Amino acid sequence: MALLDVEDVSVRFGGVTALDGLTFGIDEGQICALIGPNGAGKTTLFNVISRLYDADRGAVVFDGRDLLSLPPHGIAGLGIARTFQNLALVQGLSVLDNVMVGAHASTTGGFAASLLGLPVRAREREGRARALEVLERVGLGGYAQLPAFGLPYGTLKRIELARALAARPRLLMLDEPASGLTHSEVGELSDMIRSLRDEFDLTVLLVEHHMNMVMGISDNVVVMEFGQKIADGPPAQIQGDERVIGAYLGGPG
Amino acid sequence: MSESIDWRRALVIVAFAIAAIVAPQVLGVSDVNLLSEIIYLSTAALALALITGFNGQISLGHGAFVGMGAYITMILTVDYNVSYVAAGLISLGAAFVVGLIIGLPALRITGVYLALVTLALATLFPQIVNRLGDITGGSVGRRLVPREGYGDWDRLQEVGRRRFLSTEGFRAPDWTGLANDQWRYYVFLAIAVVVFVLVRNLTRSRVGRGLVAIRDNETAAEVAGVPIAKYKVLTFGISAAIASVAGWMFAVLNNDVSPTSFTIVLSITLLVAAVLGGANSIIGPIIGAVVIIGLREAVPAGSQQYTNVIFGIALIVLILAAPGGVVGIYRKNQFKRKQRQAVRAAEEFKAALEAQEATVAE
Ligand SMILES: Nc1ncnc2c1ncn2[C@@H]1O[C@H](COP(=O)(O)OP(=O)(O)O)[C@@H](O)[C@H]1O
Ligand SMILES: [Mg+2]
Repeated sequence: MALLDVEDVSVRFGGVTALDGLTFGIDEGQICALIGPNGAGKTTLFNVISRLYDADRGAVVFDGRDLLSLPPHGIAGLGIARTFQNLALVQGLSVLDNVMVGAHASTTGGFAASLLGLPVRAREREGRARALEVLERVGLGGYAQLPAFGLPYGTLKRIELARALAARPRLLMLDEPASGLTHSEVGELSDMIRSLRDEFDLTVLLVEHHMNMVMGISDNVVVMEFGQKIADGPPAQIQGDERVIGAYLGGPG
Repeated sequence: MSESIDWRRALVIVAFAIAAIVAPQVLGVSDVNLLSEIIYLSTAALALALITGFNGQISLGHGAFVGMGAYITMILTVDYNVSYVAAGLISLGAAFVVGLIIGLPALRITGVYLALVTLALATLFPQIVNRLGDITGGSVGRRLVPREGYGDWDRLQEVGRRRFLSTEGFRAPDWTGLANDQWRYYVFLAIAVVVFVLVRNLTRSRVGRGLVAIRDNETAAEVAGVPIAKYKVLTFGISAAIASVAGWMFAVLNNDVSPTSFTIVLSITLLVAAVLGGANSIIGPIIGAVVIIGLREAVPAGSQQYTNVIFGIALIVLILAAPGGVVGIYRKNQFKRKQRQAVRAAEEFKAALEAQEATVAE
């Protein structure tokens, strides 16, 4: 059974139909790539799953639970974390604190406990240590105390990745993680996504334009155009699909 | 790294603590009262730093919460023989609830619009006080002493003595051997230390990070699981409660509560104090309060009306030139230094890597 099921989801913005009856599923442990030309509706789908956008129709079911009945802040607690195509870091916090914000839903401590300080000290130390571990894991151990702005773009993207990982997610959604990275960085990132998946038992939903990366690491590829799914299958099959080549792979990305 | 003790910092804190404890022993009454006023203003500015600096909800109405604390304290102690301690706690609770109620509609408005709505709160407050003239004393205000004709004067005097209430207002208990102004200062100091430590705890916790995340990037906060509405409303309530504690201090310090003390001017002064020092910090409000009261003392008597103009201009200049205030400038320099260190480390690492690759290639 699929971990995430997107069922007949439609989203309209005025006259624009961003998602048009989109249906697909991701099995647990898979890396599923979502590809399609700009404006196909990939980010919109992420925002529907995050509950930032309302769906006009359809359902999104995660591990048997209907996501569309939850508030936006209720999603992270189920084990869904994401990065943003256009960075969404908290500029007023250090890199480490940004990563710790990512762990918000998987940690505890409300206003009363936080005001009093004492009962949360130990937990705070634990959370800090874990966040540092995650930063080390993505190669940013030395950046913990820096502010989360004014750093190279690739570094900022990796901070977002660390923040998403800190949530201990079951489903990790990455929106164009390789955009703006150099050739060697893209290779590094591909290896990292694969090994993170194995290490943390992740299921990954990946939106990406780098075809080498997509075809290299995905178990399954979903191809979108104008808010609809036009193909769905393993990379080898997608690469040979004439409709996909016509719509996307052939053209200039 | 961050767990190790910063000795220089510890030394500064100890020095300040000693100075704060010794000061009333060596200073005259008016100077001690000036220090008490700085504590009052710091506490009120802290309330604003929390809501505006850390959580990003701009409030131009916090003078009303300070006024609420002062009036509730005055009315309860004078008319109802409630002790100062109980009056403080009751006004704190009341301000918390009112803060929550005002925080709810604040969810739907942000930025400049919230500033305007809270501004209305600040302008409304003196009018409400005037409307309720029977208990508030109207535009003249009231003193914090039992008035003749209000119940049994002799009994009030007796009760008042027991509850530190006298014709001199907040009175030092005999066992302390302190003068009234000294006692008041120490009580303020103790309360402020508790309030500042609580707020510091909050800002350095999971909740505190959530508050800053809401301020800087609501989407990121929400996706990370921070319940925005709940956090904003609770912060409004806590901030209002802290402002009411400052209001309690005001009543106790001045023995006199009148609507002219809680106009929009106070609200703006609080914002200046918070922004001046650095609204996004715990020390900032103290720096702001010291500067504002120091400035007022430095301006010759007779030209006091210009201080408001100075504050107004200072606020605009500050927000444009140094949005992080004094603390912000300090932090920025620290950040820049750390960033340079990190970049240098990264470059050295890269150079070492290239050197290694070169030897492997040979
Ligand atoms: N918040 C929004 N308001 C209006 N239109 C939007 C909004 N978000 C996305 N769209 C539109 O929906 C379509 C899909 O956009 P998007 O999901 O960002 O595509 P992709 O991520 O695949 O490039 C585009 O036509 C875009 O202009
Ligand atoms: Mg997109």
